[in-house]
Amino acid sequence: MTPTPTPRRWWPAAALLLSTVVCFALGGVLDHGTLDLGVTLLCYLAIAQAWNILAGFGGLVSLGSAAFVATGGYAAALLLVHTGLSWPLAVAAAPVVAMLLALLLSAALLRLRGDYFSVGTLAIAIALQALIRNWDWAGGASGVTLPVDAVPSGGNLFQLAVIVAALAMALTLHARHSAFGIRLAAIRDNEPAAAGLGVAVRRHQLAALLPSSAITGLAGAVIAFQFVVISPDGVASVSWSLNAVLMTVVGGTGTVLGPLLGVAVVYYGLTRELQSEQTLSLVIEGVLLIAIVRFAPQGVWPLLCRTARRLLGPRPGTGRPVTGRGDEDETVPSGTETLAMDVA
Amino acid sequence: MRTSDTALTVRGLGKHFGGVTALDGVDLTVRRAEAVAVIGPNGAGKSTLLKLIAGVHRRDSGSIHLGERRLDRLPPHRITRLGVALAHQVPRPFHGLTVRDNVRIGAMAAGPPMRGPELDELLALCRLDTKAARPADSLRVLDLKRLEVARALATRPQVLMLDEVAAGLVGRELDEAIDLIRRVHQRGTTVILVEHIERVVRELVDRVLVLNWGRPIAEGTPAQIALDEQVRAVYLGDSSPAGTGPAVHSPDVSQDMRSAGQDTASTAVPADTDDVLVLDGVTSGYGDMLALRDFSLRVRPGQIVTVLGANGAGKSTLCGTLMGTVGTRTGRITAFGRDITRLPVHERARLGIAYCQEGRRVFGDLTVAENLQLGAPLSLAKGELHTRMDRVHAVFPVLAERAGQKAGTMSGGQQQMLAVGRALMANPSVLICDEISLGLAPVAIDALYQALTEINAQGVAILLVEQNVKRALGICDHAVVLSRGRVSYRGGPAGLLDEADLDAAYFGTPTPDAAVSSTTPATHPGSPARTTGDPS
Repeated sequence: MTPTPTPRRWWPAAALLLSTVVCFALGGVLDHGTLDLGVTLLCYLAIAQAWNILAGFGGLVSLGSAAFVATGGYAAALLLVHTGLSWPLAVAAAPVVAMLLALLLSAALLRLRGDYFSVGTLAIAIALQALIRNWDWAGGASGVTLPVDAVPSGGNLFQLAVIVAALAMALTLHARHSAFGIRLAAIRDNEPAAAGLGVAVRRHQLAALLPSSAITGLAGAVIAFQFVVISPDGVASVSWSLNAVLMTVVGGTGTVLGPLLGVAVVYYGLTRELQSEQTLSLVIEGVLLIAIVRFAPQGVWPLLCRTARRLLGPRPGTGRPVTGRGDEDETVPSGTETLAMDVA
Repeated sequence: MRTSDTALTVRGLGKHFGGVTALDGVDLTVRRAEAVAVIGPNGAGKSTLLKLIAGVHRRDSGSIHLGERRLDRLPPHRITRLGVALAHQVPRPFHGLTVRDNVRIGAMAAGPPMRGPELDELLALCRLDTKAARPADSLRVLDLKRLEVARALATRPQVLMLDEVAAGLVGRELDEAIDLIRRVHQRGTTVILVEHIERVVRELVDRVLVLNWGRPIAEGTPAQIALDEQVRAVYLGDSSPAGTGPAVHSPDVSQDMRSAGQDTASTAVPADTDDVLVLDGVTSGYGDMLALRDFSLRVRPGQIVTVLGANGAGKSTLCGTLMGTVGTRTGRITAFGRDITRLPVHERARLGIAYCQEGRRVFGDLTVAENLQLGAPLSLAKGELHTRMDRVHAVFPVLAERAGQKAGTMSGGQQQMLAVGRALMANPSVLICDEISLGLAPVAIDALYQALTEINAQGVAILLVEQNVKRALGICDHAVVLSRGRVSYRGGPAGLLDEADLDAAYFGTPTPDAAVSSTTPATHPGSPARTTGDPS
């Protein structure tokens, strides 16, 4: 079970603002290699967080992140190549085109439920990849080469990525702490019951899908600038979808900081460290996912939170006497953690 | 005719599910601030009527109006915002949210946002104020029902529809539920109730609509309905309580059994291999919470023993402990002379203990015959399988008639019969039934209890865990009342027939010691099980 939206507090937003400013400033200081790594991490963070909003809070488990990465990336690239617009305008167009695609597809996708929604989004990602591959104006299978002089790089690109990731984090904070987020979680937990309490189901799902697609599209534009040469096998690859799921699930679905941790663990800790051992990397990622789903299905972040609380805080409910007609109060422990607590 | 005085108008409403007609030509006009009950046997279409009004299902014919506004083409969230709320029979909480947030969702439906104090007041009204910060999935059945009502109320409805919200409540809990509905009604809310509990209907409503097979068969005041011959035939049945039921067990027998039970309670070590089930000083629970404390019980061959108690008393924990799904902390459980305290669930089942779980749990997509087959061991020879099935069909003829029908399409009473029949397919020596009369029409309960006496007459001992006190006492040899995990009464059914005694055993009285000991002469003072009377 994913955590409950909680009342808004001022410090998460303040912390986000502070870290955004610090990261933005770092764009002028860090060396080229670190900046490049930073852009990759921040793009993964934005994509994972966008998936988190849709799946973790809204219960719509999408496998279509790649479609929106590709849409954003190609929209920005094609505008630059074919119209000669400046790059800020191209970046601004990316989320708009991604949202238009989402709006178009929502008519069909939001009629699907559960696994069918997942399969539907996966199909769209694959179909879009095939479409681009056969579309000559978009460069076909060999892709598009961006004019190097016209796109930001180094510190500027990093700062752009910081803004995109910060937007994604801010949106997640909103979903976590707002009335909108509570209603989204209600739809996730029981759609007919939510409708029975006056929640407009389709409208709320669309309200999650559109910003999620926009963020993914924005990240796609940044990725296009970083790659310079984009091709259907690069930005439209299904691995974008799978990485978004993997990173969020490892970190903690439906939490604000989980995807941040997941991106660090999966990309920085695994993919990059094991770059020379591609096969081994896949095996370890697979084993990690199985271990997470088996032993910490809520993800690493909630697990860390619980552990910290257990080590630091008092043990809750220990030796609680049964008082009054308190038998209705009895709770069934939900997992092994509670049992472990008894032993400790 | 729709006047300004009319809250809700239903005209010629019809609904089919596949080939099954759930509702056919139902008319209902509810005036503003009126309270109306819809009653009828299981499968009559009562819940369907409420769900059509709420927009959960789409009507096939007819119309529904709220005042002048037509409802039947609107999506459910619009209907809720217009002021129609439904508390469902099966609670559907948002598991990931706290109790307070669950209620807040409803409060966001329409009008100005509900402020904190208003929300707290509502939570207090539904007795959820102390649990507001807890996640909804930690709640137990009674609180889930309260949450369902609280959420519906939070939408500030003009018309509140309650689908069997009192099912499963007894004694003071029922009083509280009735009181809550009355208060809501007195604030000017129009109330439509679907309810099987006669007292709720009698005390709360002005008018009753009776449905059978999707058609209205009678309408009138509760008093008129109670006298209606047709209604008695299809719904109320011969529902006279204890005594006139299947009189297999005479009071004399009860008396004998009671003394047997008394011996059991004082015997420290059960050595009698004749006994079907013996629990000796059993304690069990979940985490920090002990749901069953130092509990002893003996079930002899051919006996019917009933375990009664309010919600949260520990009855279902007892069933779980007996079957091994809940671990035993201390004490010993013996079946047929063998210690089974540490035996896994499936091995206990093989010994001949069948467990008919609360909530029926039939496989809805499988046919009746397939459900029955699943109750028998896999290795059973085909001939033996058919013998057993014939035996179940003899007790429940309806299961033979509907052998090819999907179990999920049957009425509640028939599903419960299937659940009992499936348990019998294991050819048990003892049958544990958990709340088999819950949510059933009086006629359906009559049929089930008749079947239980037949099963018992074939030599199967029965442990009956019930909330329907009168029915259970009507057929049992020996009764145990649990209160907060401890035994508060042990003895023959006769000692509980008086309302005051029953209330004392269920909830305690200002002087519980006096009450318990005065009504239970059979209870052994030194018995380890008799501890609830202690104020500690």
